Amino acid sequence: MSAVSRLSSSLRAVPESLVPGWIQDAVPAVEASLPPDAAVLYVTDDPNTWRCGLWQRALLPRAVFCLRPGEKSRRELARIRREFPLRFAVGSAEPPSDLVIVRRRAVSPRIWVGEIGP
Amino acid sequence: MSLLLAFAAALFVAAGFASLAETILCRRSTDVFGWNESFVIGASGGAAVLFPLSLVAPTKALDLVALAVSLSAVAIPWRIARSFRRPPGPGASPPLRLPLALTLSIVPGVLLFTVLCLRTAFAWDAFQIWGTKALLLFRDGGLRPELWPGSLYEGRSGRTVNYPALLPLFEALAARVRGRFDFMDLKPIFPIFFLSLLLSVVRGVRAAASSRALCLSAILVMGFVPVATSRPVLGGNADLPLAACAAALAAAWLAPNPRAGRWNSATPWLLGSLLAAKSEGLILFGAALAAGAIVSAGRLSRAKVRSHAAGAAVALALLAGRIGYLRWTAIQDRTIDPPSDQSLARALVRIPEVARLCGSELMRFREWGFLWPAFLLLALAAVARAPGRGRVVALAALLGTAAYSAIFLQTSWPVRLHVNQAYSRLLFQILPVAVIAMVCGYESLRADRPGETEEGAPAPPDKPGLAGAERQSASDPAPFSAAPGEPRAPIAR
Repeated sequence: MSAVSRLSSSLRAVPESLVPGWIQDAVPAVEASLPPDAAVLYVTDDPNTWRCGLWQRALLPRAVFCLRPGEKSRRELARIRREFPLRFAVGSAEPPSDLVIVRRRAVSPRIWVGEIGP
Repeated sequence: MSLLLAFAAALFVAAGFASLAETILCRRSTDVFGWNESFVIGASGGAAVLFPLSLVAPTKALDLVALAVSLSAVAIPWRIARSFRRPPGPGASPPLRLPLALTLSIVPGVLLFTVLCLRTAFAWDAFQIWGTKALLLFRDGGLRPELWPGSLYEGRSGRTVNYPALLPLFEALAARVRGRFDFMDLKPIFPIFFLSLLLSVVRGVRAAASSRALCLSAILVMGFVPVATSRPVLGGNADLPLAACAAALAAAWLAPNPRAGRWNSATPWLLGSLLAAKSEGLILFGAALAAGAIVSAGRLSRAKVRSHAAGAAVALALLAGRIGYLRWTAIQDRTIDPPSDQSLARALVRIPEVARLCGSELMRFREWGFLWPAFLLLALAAVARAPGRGRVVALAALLGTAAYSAIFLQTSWPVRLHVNQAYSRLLFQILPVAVIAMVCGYESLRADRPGETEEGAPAPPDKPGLAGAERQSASDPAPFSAAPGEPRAPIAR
């Protein structure tokens, strides 16, 4: 009986969503802040690239490029901007010093949206 | 409730795949093994046809497959009722019945796998590649050659484009039936593949083994080998579907097959299924063909080649479809360096390192026990002494293992990192065939002992063994005389 009980509780405890609630909650506000189909830069200090993948999929079909401020961020940003005319950024971390964000506003306790300056 | 609906949707699609294959290949399976074989053929055939459909109906290809699969699934009760109404042929097994001991050995393994699968987070590829390809397929309605939105180069996400479509198709169809796409709803698909894998191993081992105890031992090894509960297998990668396809091919190859060589024989479709599940399937495809060619070298008559032309054409058409898809997407996989003087010279230097790393992986007790050393000994015995069909299975497993090890000679990654990350997943794809090959090897050694069954000796009607399968294909004067849909030998269907 205890095996059955453990099996039953295991099944009941199955996670219901792959995308964490704080991302799901922020997505509608982020979408409302951006023009349709505009590509965005996602600024994060999270070393886990998995989470970047969650944002890319949550905002599909919008193209999402992930940028982690650091030594390589200037070169990475230049490479992305050569290929895509990026105008908007979403972030959960402070942007690197050479990335100017204007009209920045918070859409959730952890997420901000803004326009990339010249 | 959400989980139950996800299970129902996955089972509906799986049943639809099986029923579709039954219809198209004019099959009338009467037992669970035949239906399982039809499931693998239907799923991989659906994946193969998705590419040409995407060319002619770019946004409706998925819906067209969904329509065919749904109609086929709805027709299943009628099919089952018809199989019950038909008088059973001599020696035919009761419909959908599996011996109690085998059922008891399979069910706990599948239950354990299901719980662990539901509780395990997605593996990287399962989410970033396979699930994402399914998401794109669900949204776009067909396969497209474009990279993932935002990809600037062929990277992890870009590779979603040229990866085969079996798993993403199954996932996208289940989402279509469910009415929404949610990554968590994809999980119930994997216990279905695990069940399919175990059923194929049961069938293959029953065709090769002369004792039920040996059969049960093989199932327990396959169902409870530690690597089957590792994250890459539980987490939704395509290694499990490819292993299920390879197992189904080995089982079909060993079982008696009155349709051998025909276009609607299971074997060429299952050979092609290797190409539909994962890119490495091409290596297994080559290993299977090479093993068949080596074993039958010098024994092929012109009449035999002609009689197998239709089956060969099916396998070649599936291969052409895969190559056409790769050319359409035009993605260069950077994981493996293209051949050049420099890369070949580097490969020669790497041989000792790759051999050492792969050898230590094969001997990793916590994942495999003593499985691979035992496989090496028994597969070599099978190659030396087993009847032709068992020899082909053992040689294919050996060639596949060797080829998978050789991949690392040409990797663009650091060798140790790549071996650590990929080798056990590659070995898992071969594992079911290796288990069947081990049984073939054991039987070939046993057949030489006094008092044991000799090769070619009459097998009991409910357990023909490998000798029975051999006899049916090798000495039957009119092996293709059975009408389409005619019931087959009990173990085969």
